[in-house]
Amino acid sequence: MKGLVVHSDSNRLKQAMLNILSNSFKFTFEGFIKITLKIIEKENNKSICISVEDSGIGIKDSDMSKVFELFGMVSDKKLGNLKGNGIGLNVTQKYIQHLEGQITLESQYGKGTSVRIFLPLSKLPSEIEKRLDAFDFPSIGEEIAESTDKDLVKLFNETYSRMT
Amino acid sequence: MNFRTPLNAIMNSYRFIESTFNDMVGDEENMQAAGSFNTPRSKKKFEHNRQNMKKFITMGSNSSVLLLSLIDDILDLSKLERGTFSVNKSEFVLEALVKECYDLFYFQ
Repeated sequence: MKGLVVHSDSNRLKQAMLNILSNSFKFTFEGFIKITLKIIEKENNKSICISVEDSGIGIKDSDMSKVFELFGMVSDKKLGNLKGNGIGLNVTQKYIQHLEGQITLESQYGKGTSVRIFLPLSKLPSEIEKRLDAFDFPSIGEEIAESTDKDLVKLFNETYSRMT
Repeated sequence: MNFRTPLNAIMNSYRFIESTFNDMVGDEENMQAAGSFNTPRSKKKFEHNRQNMKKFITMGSNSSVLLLSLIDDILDLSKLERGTFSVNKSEFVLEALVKECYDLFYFQ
């Protein structure tokens, strides 16, 4: 498989991605969830940007300061008992910081959220660095609107309600 | 007992069930070979059950991976608080990792 080889902690990055995606899938009821990978160059430093954008319910401005807090769960009347565990984004931010990266979250209430992870690429072997420009990153996101049956959270809820 | 031990067993059981399932009824060819259906009705019923089973296997399998990741988060959180957290770097293909994560939530 062609792709960009990075030197990082694959387990922690996976845990981080699963936390971010789990939020997106939980709080997006129509529209899209899109992942994009990009290489960003700033003052001779290359970094990789993994962005997860969704068209979910978004986060109120007044709640934005809480999103990275431990147990800083945001509640919303619209959601009923649907909420996070209060750990995901907090521990995700710590992983990224330990990997010398950065994580940002932007959101518009009612429109969607986008989370970006930036990881430094400077510690790559030079051979890989030379090949960087040649990579073309496909966007992995797909429309989820027509997939009533495909996503895990929906499938679980359906099955659960059928069983009880 | 390690937190992860029982969950690893569940995860590997699902992997085993999945490959056994694919071996037995994974595709049309296998089903024909097994001669499982003599009438169109039994074929339809078989296909319906096969699709459902496939769904539940994927659901169980994916959920066990997600739960394991959650347990790892909690273990890491306590390491971070004790100051014993350390990263473990290696080389890997980024796109494959991202795709793998996405597929755990969104599948055919």
